[in-house]
Amino acid sequence: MKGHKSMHHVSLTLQIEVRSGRPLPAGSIVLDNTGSAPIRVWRTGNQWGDTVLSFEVSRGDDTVRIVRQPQVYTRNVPSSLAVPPGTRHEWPFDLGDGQWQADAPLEQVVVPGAQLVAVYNVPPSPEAKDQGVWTGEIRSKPVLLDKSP
Amino acid sequence: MRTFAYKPRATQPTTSAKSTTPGLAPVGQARDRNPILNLQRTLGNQAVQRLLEENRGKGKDDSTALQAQPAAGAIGRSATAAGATSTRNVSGDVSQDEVVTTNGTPAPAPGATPASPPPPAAPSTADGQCYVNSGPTYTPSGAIPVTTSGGRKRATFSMAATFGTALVTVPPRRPRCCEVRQYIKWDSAFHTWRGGPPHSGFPSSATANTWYEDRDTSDKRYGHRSGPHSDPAPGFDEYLTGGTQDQANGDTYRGSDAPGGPASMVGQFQFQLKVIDTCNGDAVKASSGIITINWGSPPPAPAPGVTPPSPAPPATP
Repeated sequence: MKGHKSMHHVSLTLQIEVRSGRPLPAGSIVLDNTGSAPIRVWRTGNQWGDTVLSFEVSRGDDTVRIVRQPQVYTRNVPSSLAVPPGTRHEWPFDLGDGQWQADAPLEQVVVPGAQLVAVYNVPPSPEAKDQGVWTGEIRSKPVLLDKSP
Repeated sequence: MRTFAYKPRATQPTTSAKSTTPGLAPVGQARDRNPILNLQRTLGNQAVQRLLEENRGKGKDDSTALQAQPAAGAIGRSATAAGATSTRNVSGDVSQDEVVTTNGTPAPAPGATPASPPPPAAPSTADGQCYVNSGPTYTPSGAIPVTTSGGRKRATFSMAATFGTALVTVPPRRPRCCEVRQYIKWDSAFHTWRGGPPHSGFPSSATANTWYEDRDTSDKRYGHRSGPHSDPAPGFDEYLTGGTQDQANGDTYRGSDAPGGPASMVGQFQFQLKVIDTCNGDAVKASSGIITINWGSPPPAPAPGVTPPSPAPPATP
């Protein structure tokens, strides 16, 4: 590619930190900026930030997607924040707080022995371009849900 | 439109006799507070007179209009009168049950005028004042259309306001003194459907049919130039000067909102904008008309227990 070459590189990793597995997993999704440049991510609380995170639960050959339920907005503004290089950003989650939905009841989907994957997907948009928000998709490594009683 | 209010007596140099009158400021204070006097002393009366004549007869609302003001001793009365008349209500439909919240002061009822001239007030000590050139306005106005897509309802509208600059007024008109606020009120049908306020940014004790300053779940709010509630975003919540974002001093406000929720949402939201003067105790300077979003009606309640008719008695032969 011709032209200016950036001296910075973007490198991101995503992981799930489960703090509680009962009755449904709760914890944080952690985005680590391991690159040399700051990146911008959407804040939650608006239609841009509330739709970037989802989960996939796999058991055997079946995979079910879990998404956040539509939220009520009164001030719906795309709001972003910077994640400096070498730092992390956490999104707390609780699949049991009634804010998540799937094609089947979560209690039947998120069961011991299943594998949970977090997906961070930011589609391109004029707002993302305006604010320099990183766009793309990354996935966490699977987390095996606890089999112990 | 420009305006020019020339009050030659007020701009004449104050005599020493007048300066000793109770309520009048000493000449030294007048020098500090009245730029017209300063201009006269610097340029001479004729030069200032020419400058004033050039502006005579021009429109009233030009943000750069040169306005002569009374000398220091009359500032208090003038400021009071100006304050009473410059609080504009664009639509005149401010409701009577508003506002209740932090940083929100209700606008005076439309058309409310004092029964008698306001008493003289102390000279203003503010280093600036907010002057609203236009707005605040919503586009569209009135009832906002609702769209449903992908299992969500949404209504989109934009906001606008402009503010004046005039350094020769007392206090000077400074756009940085003007800040926009958006207020929201939801009705009982929505509150019942939701089981409380719209989201966690509002206190759980928030009630229906009450005006609150709008916010998101992070307690970010429209129009705050700085501070913990400030969250400027290009095209959605920003101040500009000459088309360039200027959060601190911008003379133009531009905003956009797209409230919404699940397709099952019912009830009504109402919004209203106000411009407040942060240099003068957050006084409300202008208000927009109220816009209304009807999310839909709740499903009809089941009919009250209708008991089936008692079986007909067996027919007797």
